[in-house]
Amino acid sequence: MSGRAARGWAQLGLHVGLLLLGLSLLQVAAERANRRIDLTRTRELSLSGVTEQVLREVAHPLRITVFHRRGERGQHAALLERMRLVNPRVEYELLDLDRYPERARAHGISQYGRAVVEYEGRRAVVLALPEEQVTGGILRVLRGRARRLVFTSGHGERPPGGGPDTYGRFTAALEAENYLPEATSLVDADVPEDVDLVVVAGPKHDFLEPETTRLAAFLRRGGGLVVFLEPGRLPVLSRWLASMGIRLGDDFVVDHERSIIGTDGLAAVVELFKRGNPISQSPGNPIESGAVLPSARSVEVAAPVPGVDAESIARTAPTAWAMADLDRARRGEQPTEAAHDVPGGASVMVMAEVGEPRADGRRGRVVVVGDADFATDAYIDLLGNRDLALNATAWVSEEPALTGERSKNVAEVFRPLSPLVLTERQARGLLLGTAVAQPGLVLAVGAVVVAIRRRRT
Amino acid sequence: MRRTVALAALVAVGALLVVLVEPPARRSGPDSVRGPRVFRTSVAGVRRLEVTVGGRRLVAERTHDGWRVDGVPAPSERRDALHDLVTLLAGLRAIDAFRASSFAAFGLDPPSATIVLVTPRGPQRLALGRPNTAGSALYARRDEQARVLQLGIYLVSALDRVLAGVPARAAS
Repeated sequence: MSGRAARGWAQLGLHVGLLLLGLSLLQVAAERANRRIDLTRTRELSLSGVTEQVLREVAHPLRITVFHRRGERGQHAALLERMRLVNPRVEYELLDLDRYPERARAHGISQYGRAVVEYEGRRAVVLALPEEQVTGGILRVLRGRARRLVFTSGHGERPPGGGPDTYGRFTAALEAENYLPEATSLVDADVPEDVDLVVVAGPKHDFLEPETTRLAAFLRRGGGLVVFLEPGRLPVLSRWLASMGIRLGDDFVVDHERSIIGTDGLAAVVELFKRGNPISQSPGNPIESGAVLPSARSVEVAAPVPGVDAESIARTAPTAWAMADLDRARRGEQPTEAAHDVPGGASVMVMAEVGEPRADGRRGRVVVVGDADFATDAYIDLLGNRDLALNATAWVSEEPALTGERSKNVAEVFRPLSPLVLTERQARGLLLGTAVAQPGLVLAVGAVVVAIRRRRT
Repeated sequence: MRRTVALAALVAVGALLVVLVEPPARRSGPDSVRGPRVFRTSVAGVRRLEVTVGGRRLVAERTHDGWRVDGVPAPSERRDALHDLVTLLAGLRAIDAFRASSFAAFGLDPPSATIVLVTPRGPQRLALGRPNTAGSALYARRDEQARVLQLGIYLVSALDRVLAGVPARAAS
């Protein structure tokens, strides 16, 4: 073989060798590194921020055993592997329930698609899908007990479940985060000692003085209270909230310029959130778009009250009006200053810490929102409504993994509406643009071309 | 021109395929199961059938004039039930088959029922256990093999038809 040919072959061998070496090194690097980029529109291949936060709390081995139906192993494996990648202390095992009936019986499992979560001697059985069910199970074993959630009853409140006007999905989301909901009247009994969270869900009738006294006692011992209120007079409740420096406006906040398609034109759009706020900027669930309150009233901080740290954290857009006459507002009449309607953005959400800290540093927490409809099944999936409702709940119940720390005296941050939801003005513009302007432009260009050609000929 | 003719021919072939090729038939019930066969026999190869479920036992022999149960020609209803059961068993396929360390968990130690098919090659025994969690399949085991099978639950109704009217025998 001539020298030139030998050199050629040697070069070829060297190139092949280098290529193989490079590919091998890439493979080793890929095996060691773990990075995925989720390009799906709904990020369905990634864990939620809440799940990741919960998993980071796992400090000891956590074992998840899933009993699945034949042929469904893959869908469970994908989720559990993602969890293990966040925290290697998560171990999992996937068992075909039909092949391992004895192990299922030992765990008390008799249905497909169940996961047994075990941690530090504690155990929870949950649905193996969707993700939030498993996360709820992990939370339950991390905390040691399920958290008790009470909906007040007896004042025409929205029930926890059963239809578009109810809080079914809100309640289901809380159940997945380790809450056990129930409805309770406070007329004759205090809030039970082991209750973590009380929700007042849009009462139509006022509370009695003893009930507000019981709520105050609940807050003093470090409880969490979320109050969703529709426009309307509730004197006793208003007085009690005023004693904590929270003023309920006797008004109806509307925004005719930014009315949302799909609502009845009375919705108030919440676009301004306080920056650094653990409710709007929760590390696990930041609200990235605005929120829509279908029928809102203003809620703001009145004069400071000793022992209460309250602040307004959400305001409507500057185009809103707080109408003084609720009937005029419901009839869709235009607001006017002559009728004592107040223009400008209105505060619709206040958060407050109440009372002296307990031995563990915990204080009572309350969030008052000037609307009850936004968290119902009919509206909870609109824009950031769901995150707003759940983040508020998480903050009052002091789930530090889900809310982060508070910041004071910070500027508001603008949260524009998601581009997927159109205001009426935007819809009109879109119609004119696509149905009139665009064809008109084509027509105009065509006419010009015809004119130019005729002139040439 | 040649290209046009070629494309037209391609379209014609495609149209012909669409017209002539039928989609695969959607199977349901026992026909949808494509796992391993349980018995190595044909319908005609079954000479004798022994079924024991709890305290009830039936022995049927195929003769030149049909099925005889306990030496007596079977009535028409039982004859039809026996024929259906043998047909089912001869074509029976497992939904799933896996190795198990313990058979008691599947109700196979002891089994709740046994079926024995006697063929010219000898007897083939099938032990039946308990239903699975969903109640959609029955655990079973062939001839002391190490594998546990899952069989369609429709086998139970076929056995019930055969054993209808057969009294349970008193324990001796």
